[in-house]
Amino acid sequence: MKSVVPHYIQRQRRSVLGMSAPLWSAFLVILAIVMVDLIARFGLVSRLELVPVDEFVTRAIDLLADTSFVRNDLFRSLTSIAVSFVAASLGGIAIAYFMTQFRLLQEALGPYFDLFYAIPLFALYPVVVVLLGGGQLPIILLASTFSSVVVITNASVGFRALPPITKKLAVSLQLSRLQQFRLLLLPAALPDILTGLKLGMSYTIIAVLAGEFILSPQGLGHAVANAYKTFDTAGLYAGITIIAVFSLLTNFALSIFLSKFDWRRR
Amino acid sequence: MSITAQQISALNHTKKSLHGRRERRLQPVLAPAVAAIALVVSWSLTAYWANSAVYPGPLAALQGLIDDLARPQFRANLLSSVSIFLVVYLAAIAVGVVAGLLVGLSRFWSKVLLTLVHALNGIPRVVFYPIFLLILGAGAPSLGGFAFACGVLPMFLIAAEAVSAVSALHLKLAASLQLSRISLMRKIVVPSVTPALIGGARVAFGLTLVGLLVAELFAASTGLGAEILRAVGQVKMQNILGQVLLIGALAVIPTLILRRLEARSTRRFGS
Repeated sequence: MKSVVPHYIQRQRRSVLGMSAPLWSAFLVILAIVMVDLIARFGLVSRLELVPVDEFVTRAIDLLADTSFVRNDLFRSLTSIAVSFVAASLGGIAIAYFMTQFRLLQEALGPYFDLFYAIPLFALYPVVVVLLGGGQLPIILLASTFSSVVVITNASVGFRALPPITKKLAVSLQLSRLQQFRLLLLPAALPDILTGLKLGMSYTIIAVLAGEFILSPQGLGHAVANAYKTFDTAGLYAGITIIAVFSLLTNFALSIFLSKFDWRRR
Repeated sequence: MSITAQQISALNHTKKSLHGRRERRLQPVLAPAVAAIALVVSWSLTAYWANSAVYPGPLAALQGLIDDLARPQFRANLLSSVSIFLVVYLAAIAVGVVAGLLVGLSRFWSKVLLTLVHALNGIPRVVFYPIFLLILGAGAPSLGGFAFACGVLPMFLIAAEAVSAVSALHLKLAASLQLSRISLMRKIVVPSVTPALIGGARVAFGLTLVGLLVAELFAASTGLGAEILRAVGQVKMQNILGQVLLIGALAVIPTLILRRLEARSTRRFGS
């Protein structure tokens, strides 16, 4: 018999056609890969547009064994990402701290940080290249600026969420500024800071690869752009696969690692 | 009867806010304005001291923009970017909202699809652009297709999450009142997701614009991105900076309007 309770307040279905939600997600991914492979294999599109999956996966594995690719592209992108991420994290937390300490700073800069991601920062990329040349520096500069703002906004949410009573506690205990930061502010804001750092990593990867893609002579992003420009379709899909797997794994690993420090989840 | 420390702090707080009311009303406008002026002044001063052709000041950048706007070629490129953007943005909003609402209504399918879309969202989209180029060819279709993909994903995610966040209590109320499906949508679902949808439209605006510009910077012979590349090729810094200012204005003004709308709908419908 059909239930009289409307479906939208019924309990969530556990499975559809005997498959749970994670299983369906995996199934859809595999389905997409198989479709891509079949389309390429049976010549529904030209070889210039798409090659079978095993071809570009083998190519990706070959690339990872190729020392010149590893040294010039992979390693370069990884160092840019690592340096930008560390700079954005430390700088972002420091700026957020000063914004909480000085209300005027918060009021002067807050509205701009809110608007920051509406502005296509990549439009500035050519400017930075003209000013600083075509090396890693302009990419690191832009990527750390781009990702620091998400660290700042999340960390300031955390710092501001500190209950006012703790400030009085700090005064009663005569804590120094450093002690206040280390013992009160940082632990209280930690979950929000960690959220900011996770987003910051994902933004850093996006900014570094986009920068390399548009105007850099080296790096993973450049490898993809170059494969396209030289009609190397297998190389193009191999590069995209490496980047996709790398960013998924990095975001996933960082998220698991950072969650260990999150006392809200314990 | 004892008074708790929290009450004291609350009292202190009200006292302070009564005292500082006038100062507070001014500061939200004054402080950002001062920051903006400080930025422009330091830009002018450093440009003046650097005295270099590759680092023009704000006035030179504005002059560069005015010169550009006088060129018919530039106006045609601006128009091409703006028209592709408008079509693609509206399409991304429409598709994202409808798909998000449909998927969000089913908790099972939103769990299945949102995991995938969230993962996809963490991969730098820009590296997929060559695929659009290969399949759709250079020009407006691949530019528009890529910008559409950049806008539709976040809009879909925000819409689907907004629907699944509709208060269960409100849904139960609707069930007891035996509302029809249409009145359920009209009276419960739409009002409660409107603020989030406007927020999504704001986020999608920025991302669609970034997608279009990045695509144009990579492989277009038309549009604002191509204009920037040409200016870069000729190392005309004042034109580059002028165009960056124009893009900033094109991005910020609609964002401010959408933010206003978002605040208004939050006041009306609750967050």
